[in-house]
Formats: sequence, structure tokens, C-alpha cells
Amino acid sequence: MSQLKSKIIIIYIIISFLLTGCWDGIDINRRAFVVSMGIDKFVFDETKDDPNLNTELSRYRITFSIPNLPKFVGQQGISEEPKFTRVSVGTTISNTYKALESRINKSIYFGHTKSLLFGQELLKDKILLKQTMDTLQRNPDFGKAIPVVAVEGSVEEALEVLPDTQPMVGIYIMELFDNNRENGGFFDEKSLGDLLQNFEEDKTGLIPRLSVGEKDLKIEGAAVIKDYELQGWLDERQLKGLLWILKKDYRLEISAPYDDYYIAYNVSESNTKIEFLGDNEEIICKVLVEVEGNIDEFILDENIFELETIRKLEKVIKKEIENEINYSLEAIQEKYKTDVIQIGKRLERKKPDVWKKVKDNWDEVFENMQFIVEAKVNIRRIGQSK
Amino acid sequence: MFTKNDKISIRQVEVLLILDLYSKAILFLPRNAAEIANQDGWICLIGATILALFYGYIITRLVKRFPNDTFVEFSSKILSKPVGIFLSILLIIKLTVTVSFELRTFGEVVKQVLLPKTPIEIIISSMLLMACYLVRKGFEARARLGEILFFIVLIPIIAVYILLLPNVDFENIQPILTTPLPKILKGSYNLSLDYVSIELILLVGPLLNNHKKLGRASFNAILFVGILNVISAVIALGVFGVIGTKTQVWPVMVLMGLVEIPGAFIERQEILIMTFWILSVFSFISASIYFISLIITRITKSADQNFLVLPLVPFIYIISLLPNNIVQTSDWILFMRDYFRFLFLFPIPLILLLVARLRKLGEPIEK
Amino acid sequence: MSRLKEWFKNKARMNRWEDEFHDEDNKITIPLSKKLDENIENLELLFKDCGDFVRRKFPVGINKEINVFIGYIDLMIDRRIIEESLLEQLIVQVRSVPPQTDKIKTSIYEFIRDGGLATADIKEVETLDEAVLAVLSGDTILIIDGYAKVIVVATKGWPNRGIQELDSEVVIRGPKEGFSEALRMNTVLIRRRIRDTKLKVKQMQIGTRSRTDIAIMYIDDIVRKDILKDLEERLNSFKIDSVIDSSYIEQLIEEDWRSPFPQIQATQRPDRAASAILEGRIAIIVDNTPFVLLVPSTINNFFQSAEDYYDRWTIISFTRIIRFIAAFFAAGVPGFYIALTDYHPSMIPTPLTMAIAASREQVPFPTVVEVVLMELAFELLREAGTRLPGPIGSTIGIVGGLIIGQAAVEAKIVSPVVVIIVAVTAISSFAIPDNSLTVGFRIVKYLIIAFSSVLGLYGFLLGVLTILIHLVSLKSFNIPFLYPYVSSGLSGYDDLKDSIFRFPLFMMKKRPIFSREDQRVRLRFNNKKEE
Repeated sequence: MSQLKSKIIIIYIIISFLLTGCWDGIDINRRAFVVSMGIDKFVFDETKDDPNLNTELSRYRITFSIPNLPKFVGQQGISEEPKFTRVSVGTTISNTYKALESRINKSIYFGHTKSLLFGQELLKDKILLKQTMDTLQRNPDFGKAIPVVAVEGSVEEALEVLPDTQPMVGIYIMELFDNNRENGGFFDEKSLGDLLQNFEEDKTGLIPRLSVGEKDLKIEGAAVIKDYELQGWLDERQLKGLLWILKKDYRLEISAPYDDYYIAYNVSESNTKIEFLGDNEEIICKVLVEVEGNIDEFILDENIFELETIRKLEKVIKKEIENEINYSLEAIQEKYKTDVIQIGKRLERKKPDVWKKVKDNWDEVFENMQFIVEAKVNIRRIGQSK
Repeated sequence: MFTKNDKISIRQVEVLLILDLYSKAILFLPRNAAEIANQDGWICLIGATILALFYGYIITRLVKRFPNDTFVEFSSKILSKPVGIFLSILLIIKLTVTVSFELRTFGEVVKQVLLPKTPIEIIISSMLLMACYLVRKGFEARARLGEILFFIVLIPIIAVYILLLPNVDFENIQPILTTPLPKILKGSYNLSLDYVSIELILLVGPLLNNHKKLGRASFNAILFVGILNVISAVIALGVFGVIGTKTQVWPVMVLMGLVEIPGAFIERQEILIMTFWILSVFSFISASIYFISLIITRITKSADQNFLVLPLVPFIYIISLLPNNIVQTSDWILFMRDYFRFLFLFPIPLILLLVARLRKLGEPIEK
Repeated sequence: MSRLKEWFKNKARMNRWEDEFHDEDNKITIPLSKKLDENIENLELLFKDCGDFVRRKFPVGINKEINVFIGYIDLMIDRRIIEESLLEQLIVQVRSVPPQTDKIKTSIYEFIRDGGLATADIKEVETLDEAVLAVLSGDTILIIDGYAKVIVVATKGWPNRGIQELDSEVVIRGPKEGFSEALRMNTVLIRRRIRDTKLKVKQMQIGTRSRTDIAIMYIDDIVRKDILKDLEERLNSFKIDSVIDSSYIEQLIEEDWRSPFPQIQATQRPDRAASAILEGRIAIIVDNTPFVLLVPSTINNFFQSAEDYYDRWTIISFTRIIRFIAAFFAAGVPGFYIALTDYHPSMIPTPLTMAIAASREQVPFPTVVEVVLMELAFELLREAGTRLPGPIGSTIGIVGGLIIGQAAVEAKIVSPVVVIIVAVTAISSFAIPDNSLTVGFRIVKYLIIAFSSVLGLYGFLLGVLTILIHLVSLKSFNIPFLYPYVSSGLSGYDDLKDSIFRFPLFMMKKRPIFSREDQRVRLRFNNKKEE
């Protein structure tokens, strides 16, 4: 009998332990899902900010985008707006969103954050950027696969935009990224994990640029970050050449001039090999791009079904690709002097002894490095007609 | 005929070993390997596996010589009773401390990923009580549970690895073999200490029903885990690169989160996959508790093992709460590892084996 | 002091069944006497106030010199046998035989026994207890004056349901017979399927007041003797006053009474019982119940339906996988849902998370309470549906489910997702073939809910672990319950051929572990080399 009793006592203890608990359980409708977060540096704005605000302690201005759940799902809700945008100011990121919790009646949750937006001012501030990246890495709530974009302008504006097809900007950005990945595009998708890795390796990185429209958002080009500081922006054309090196199977379209016309060549597969010639500071980097694709637009009267025409077209396209790449390389070499395409990393792998010699003044070496760009184009398919 | 006598089959031994070895290392191993030898870390792991196989071999030979004795008995036989008891008590202390810190690490991981606000005491004590429940059911129950947990734990891991292969950039592992050889050797030794669960074989003698195949079983188990570790290190390095692997505290977990299962129903599956890791840790903890109580039983020659299990709980619980935070825990684990782990893996079994052979004790093994 | 002793004695006495005429096992202790009148008097005493005991004393012989007494229970017998084979012989025929009086007089008993009764099933008993037991079982007793022996004539013929088509354990293909309540009919049904002399039918009686007949059927050279011995020991280890249904026996001989999971299987189908016997298991048939117990039972037995061997292997393998998934769902889905929504919503795809959160906007209860409430409501519905007869029962089920569920959702008492969760759980539990196993999962589900609601996914894991640990240590007659998923090495991994996947019939050449090791081969092909 006493054995039974002692068992019962143990069970009581366990049950009472369990019942006091539920430390972590938060009802799902009591959470505020931050779908996207825009982090920017705090700059005192007379129109918006309280004059009594302690500007010394305010370093961040963070915008949180939270969906209005019933409306989002399609039911009748209390408010008509599909989402709520809230801005909060604080010293550290945690500080900032805790400040937000005093204004929102729900518990802030980052588990469903779908994208992060970095403001221009933030990117210019080295210290803040370093801290931001650390927070994002350390906190396990931020999935390391979420897209990051750099906003040339106001983060708040970007998050207030209401695209027709998807009210939540965060999800919209994520879908843009998916689109880009599958269909080729104008930027290189960067996830949080990728960016962190870039920063850790050589403190440089490219962040896709987001520009704000009236009813939609556009991502193209990139922000060039060197040493945790924003150097400048690459526009679409400047970035495009780099994308040949950065992405595998870069499925974009090339418009190559051919006599009076422009023909459209759509890439289906692409692969870039990088080799190094030379053994000292005057190394030459050879970029070899192999491309396969289809001709999508030609000329109505002319016949494409001849080998010679095909060869001519291949030449033209090849030239176009090489031009693109050279144009971009120029931009990063001369204008920004930043090795954003990770040539250094490849050199380290391929010729470790050379790397040892040059790694200390890599910036200079990179600036003056000579690139030989060669493209090899194969036209595989020409469509339905001749 | 069966199973009332607490004996387990060879396959079960293998499975249990795999689970125990796996739990200890798999989360941190790529990081440790990268810290030691950068991108050649995986080579160190190969070396570590070879060393571990060697340790396993010695221990297996020793146990096969004394088929019905645990470490307590045969160390007393070989090196006289006081020494034997002393060694056994040392083993108890080592196991207790190891299990406490493992429990603490486990608690930290769970708290960080799954339950941020829950007090760690609850997490630790619930796991402890569950392990005790299993231990009280007997070693056989543990073996059977191991067979089931084996599939639950390992199939997702292997699936994740296969799915991650497209993301692996093998160039991250280059250049190969730039690290100097002494460093690799030292690294191999260091990493082989993570195979510390092998010492549990020392205690498993009387529980087996077929000693002949023990060598094969431990060989298979160590090899299997070794290969798994190497693959995981390669993949981690390939996906994160050297620096990335070094900075993550738990690289394997983040790896699991990166997998994109087409048409997946669950996002952030790293959390789900964590649960599988928890299961293997559970296996290890229940093994340790079982063995601690076994050793105590054998030393005191008392009849009832189950009785001793419950009193162990407060001890382990208190010890596990001693370190202040995970940094201190990690420090203490490193301390234990450098000075203690090796002890029972190699020198003591070797000495015992040699002395036993010299004194012609135990049953000789037919080749 | 002596009063205390008296009191103790009486108290102890009240726990036993003895009185003047019965011993502690409720067996009659009055001896048979040679005088018929004394016997009749004793019988009258025993059957006092039993209006259904029919008795007749009559003389036989041309000179009506021998008194003979017949007794039986009204309507328990087949009166034709009595009247045609017994009474007609005794009263009419014997009288017509010219008596060689001397010879006959000394051996009248043998004369009547051997020549006067024209039935085949006759027994002699020498105790009143057995005689009375015979009467109470539907036989007729014949007592002859001058002999302390009783002839028992088998005349069983009480009203019986007969063999009917089953309404549970239904199959699409396969025999449709089901066991009935008569022991002999049930053993016959099994006999017809196994025409082997090695099929043994061991009979015993259990229950001091019910004296229920129990038959243990097994095949002598296939069954494992240790299991048989274990079973017999267990059956002899208790004394109960009555066995109304085989479940009494099941609950008294099972190994772990605390477990929510059954360890002994019960079936109403003769073909299932016969297959089990052929695998080396033992069937326990209990009189007055159509449920036959099959021993030992492992988890696979509960997951198989009867058609598992009658259909082809692809469909059966597929169905089995679904059943296992269903079992997991039946126990785990509510707990998993709670763990995810309350603790780890990041794991649910975003649109779904939003939908769930939106639908829970005005619900007043926390998730746990919602789930438990709905589960309990469903249990109520289930009970109600079982009690109501026929079509009303199923209608209430549908009406209750649909309308009440819908109304509850619209009144914002529960969220629609929870209704779906509960429905999925319930449907999964119906997919498990054996009802006794379903009950196990239904109970265990609450444990998992409790754990998940406190510790999230970690708690869910702990709950599942607890159940796994329990299942893993459960044994049915010394065979691990989760066999062959664990310890499958015990019989050389063959049993895995019949677990989740069922391999084609021609591959299942060996009997499972229930049978003796040297008797494992059951299928061999001619003209092919045996593997």
C-alpha cells in the first residue's frame, strides 16, 4: 500500500509542477507576426519625432510590418487595413522592439519574418551595421534563409507600399526572390545566412537594392558594402555583368545587336570558370563563361536554319556577354575597388601560395588586376519557326 | 527462452552504441573540427575514427576475456580489489559528471531553440525523470527502445544530408591538406576523444548473449558514426565555409534549417529535427544512469538495482546546474575532456588487457 | 476471547463458499447413496425452489421392480433424445424383454446402461457434484435404485443463436461465419478448418458458481510448450465465482493490468482463430461468449484485420502503412497541434499560421481547453452513438458532429481548426482494426496533450517517449509486445516479412515466433529447390 501511496505522491508532485507551468505557451492569436522588418539608423526628423526624444540613446529606427489577420485571411475584421506598420526607436534592436511591445497588445514574434530591409543610413554606419548583423545571427528566431534587401530611400515608405497582389511587403519580396531564382533576374538573391557568411569572410558583400514604386516594389542592382560600410550602388546594368560570375545557370535574356536588329537569346544553362595565370602580384584572372540557350527573337524574313547564321549569332551574343561583364568589372574595380565577386576566395583556393603573398594588400591588387573575359555561346534551340 | 533475463542481442548493442556515440558529437563536431584544422577538419575526423576503432578494439578484447564481468569485477580480478574499486569509483565520478554536463548542454540547447522561457530546471529534471523511468524497466527495455529510436533519429538525418548535397560547394573544402601533418594528428587525437561513449562497452559484458560478435558490432558502430561525422563535417564546411562553420555554435542544426524540402508542409524544420537529436541524447543519458547504478550495485553487491536509480537523480540534477552559463559549461566539458576522457578510453583498458594477458586471467579468445 | 475467535471464524467463513453441502470451491460434498430415495431427497434439497428442475421417478422392468429416476432442467435439453432414446427404451422396450430375472437382477445397472439406452454419448459419474453439474449443463441424469452411480446422458439442446453473420470484424472477401455462444459449436467451427489429430481441445472449468466450460485449443507439435504451461498456470492461479465473458479471463491472466493497451486478442471469427492456432498460438474458447481469446498476442496481431491474408500483398501493405499512420495520428495529432500553435508557430507555413490565428481571434479559451473540450464532446457523442439502436445511433452521430460542431464554431466557442483536428483524430482511431487497441490510443492521447500543453514540442516528445517506453517493456506471455519491430533477431528476422509490409504469400514460408523453433516451415514448393 505504501508503494502505491508513494507513487501517487510522486504523481501529485509532477502534476503540480506541470500545472504551474506553461511558461512558453502563447496562444497563437496573441502573437503579432512581424512579417518584415526594416532596420534603419535613427535620424532626427522634425516632422515625426518628439522634440524631447533622447537623441543620444536613439540609434535605431525600426519599422515593423504586421498583418491584420482577419483581413489578411479574408474574413471580416475590426480594421479595414490589411496590415499595420509601426515604427519604433531605440538603442539596440532588442530595446527597440521591446519598446514596441508597450504599444501593441500582442506579443512580438519573429518566427515568421519573411524579409529584412536595411536602410541606406544604416548601411553607411559601420558600427550599427556590425551590431545589426550580430543580432540577426545570434537570435535564433530569425531564419537564416530569409531574404535581405537594401533600400535606397526610406524604409518606412517601402513597407507602407500596398502592392495589389500581396499586401505584405515581406512576402512580396520573398516572392520576388523566388521569381528571380527561377527565371533569372536582375539581382543576386541574398539570404541572411549568405550575407553573414560574406561578412565573416571578407567583410564585403552585395545586397540587392529595393526601390519603391507606387503600387509595387522593384528589386534590381545592388548595394556594395566594403568593410561594413556602404560604398555605393550598382545599377542594373552594372550588376548584370557580375551576375554571370556569381550565379550558376543565370537564366536571363541577352539582347544582342545584329545588323539593324536586336535578337533575343534566352539562357538556359550557364557556367563560369575562373582561372588564374601568373604567379605574383601581376596575376591575370581569366573568366570563362559557358552559356547554352535558345534564340527567342530573330527576324521574320531571314532564315536562321543555317549553320553559318547560327555561328554569326553566337559570335554576336558572345561579344555582348563579354561587354556586359567587362562593364561591370570596370565598375567594381575602378569605382568601388571592392572584390564583391570573391575572386580573392577563389585565388586562395586555387593558388594558395600566391594568395599568401598578395592577401595583405589585396585591395590594391584587385584594383589593378587584369581580367580576360571569354564567353562561349551555344545556341541550342531556335523555337518553332525557321 | 527469451527475455526475462535481461540479455540483449548483438544487433541491439550495435544500435545502442551508435545512438550513444552520435548524440555526443553530432551537433558540435563540425565546429570543433573546423576550429582545429580549418578546411581539413574532416581529415582529422577520419583520423579520429581510426583512433576510435583502435580504442574499441582494445576494449572489446578486454571485455571478451571476461564475458560475464563488468568493469568492476574484472578490474578487481586483474589489479586487486582496492585498485579495482578505486577505478570503478573513478568511473562513477566521471560518468556522473559527464552526464550532468551533457544534461546541462542539452537543456541549454532545448531552452534556446524550443522553449526560451521555461526554466532550465524543468527541462533537465523532466529529461532526468524520463531516463529513470526507462532505466527502471531494465536494460532490455533500453535495447528495444534503442532499436526503434535508431530509425527515428537517423533516417531524418540521412535524408537531410542527401537533400543538402546540391547546396554543398565543394570548393569550400579546398585547398586540401594545407594544414601541417602534426596539426592533423593532434586534431585527430583531440576529436577521437569525442568517441568517449565507447567506454560503456566496458560495462556491458554480462548483458550480452553472444560475445563472439562484440568486436564486429563495435567496429560497425564506430565506423558508421565515424562516416556520419565525416559527412556532416564535409557538408557543414561545404555549405558554410570554414569561417561560417567556426562561428556557429551548433552548425548542424542550422544546416537542418536550410534544407528546402520541395512541397514541404513544415517550415523551419530544424526545430523538428532537433527533436530527433533529443531522442539520441535521451538514449545516452539513460545509458549513463543505468551504468552508474550498475556499477554501484556491483561494488556494493546489492541485489536491487532499481532502488539506486532514484537517489542518483538529485545528484546529477545539482551538478548539472552548477555552471553559470553555457560558456562555463563548455569550459568545464573541455577540461573534463582533456584530462579525463582519455583515461578510460585507452590507458586503463590497455593496462588491464596487458596485465590480464600476462597473468593469464580470463578466458583466452580463439582467433 | 472466544467470541473474538468466533467472529473471526465467521468473517473468514463469509469469504468462502462453503456451507453444509458445499465445500470451499462450491462443490457438493454429499455422497451418492445406493438408495434411490435418499438420492432423490438430496436432489430435492439441492434443487429446492428451482421450478425448472424436472424429475420423474418410474419403475422399469416387466414386473416394474426397478426404480429409476430421471432429472433434467426444463428446456435445456433436447427432449426427443430423452423420449425416444431413453424413456422409450427403458419403459417400453426393456419391459418387453423377457427377464432372465436372476442374471438381470444382479446387474441391472449394466443391463440398463448397455442395453437400455440407445444413445452414443453416455457417461458414468460417481459423485453427486458431477451429476448436478451435468444436469445444470443440460444433460439428463439417470439414477438406478441400488447403485451409487449416476448415468449422464448427453442431451444438450438449449436455445441458441446459431451461427450468424458477423457485424463487426467484417471482411469483403473471406468466410462470414462467426462464433456463437455454445462452446461445442465453436470448437466444431475450428475443427472443420484444421483436420489434424494434433489439434487438441483441452477442456476445463473455471468459475466456482458458473462452472463455465473453457476449451483450450492448440496444435500439439507446433505450439511452444513453455507458453502452454505458462497459460495453464495462469488459469489455475485464481478462483473466481463466475466467468460471464472471456474478458474476465483475459483480465485475470494478462501480464500488465495497468497498461491501457491490450495484451490478449479476442476475435469472433473462426478463420482467424484457426490461422492463429496454425501459427502456434493458443485459442481459449469460453462458453456463453462468442469472443475467443488468442494467446500470445503482439502488436501486429492487433493491427491486422482478417482480410490481411486474403487480399494481395500490395494493397495489404499499403493498408497496413495507413493503419500505422492512423494509430500515430489517433494519439498524437491533438498534442502536436497544441505544441505547434502555442509554442512553435514558426514551423507552420505562414499562410496557415495566419489562418489559424485569424480564426482564433474571438475564441475565449486557450488552445488546450479547446482541444480537450472538443475531444470530450466527441467521446460523449461516441458513447451516445453506441447506446442508441440502429439507424438512430448513426444519425445522431452525424447530426451531433455536423450541427453541433458548426454551431460551436459560429458561436466562437471553438475554432474551426480544432474541429478538424478532432475529426481527424477520431477518424484515425476508427481505422485501427482492433477495438481494444483503439481504446489504448484514445487514453494515451490525453497524456500527450497534457505534456504538449506544458512543454511544447519537447513535451510532445516526452509524451511519445513515455508511451514508447511503456510499450517496449510490455510483454505478452514472454514475447515482447512490439515484436517484430524490436528484437527481431529472436527468430532470424523472418517475422519482418509480415509486419508493416506484407510480403507475397509465397515468401512467407515460415511460421512466426509463436511456434516451436523446429516446426517453422509451413510452405514448400514442389519442383523448386527449397531455399
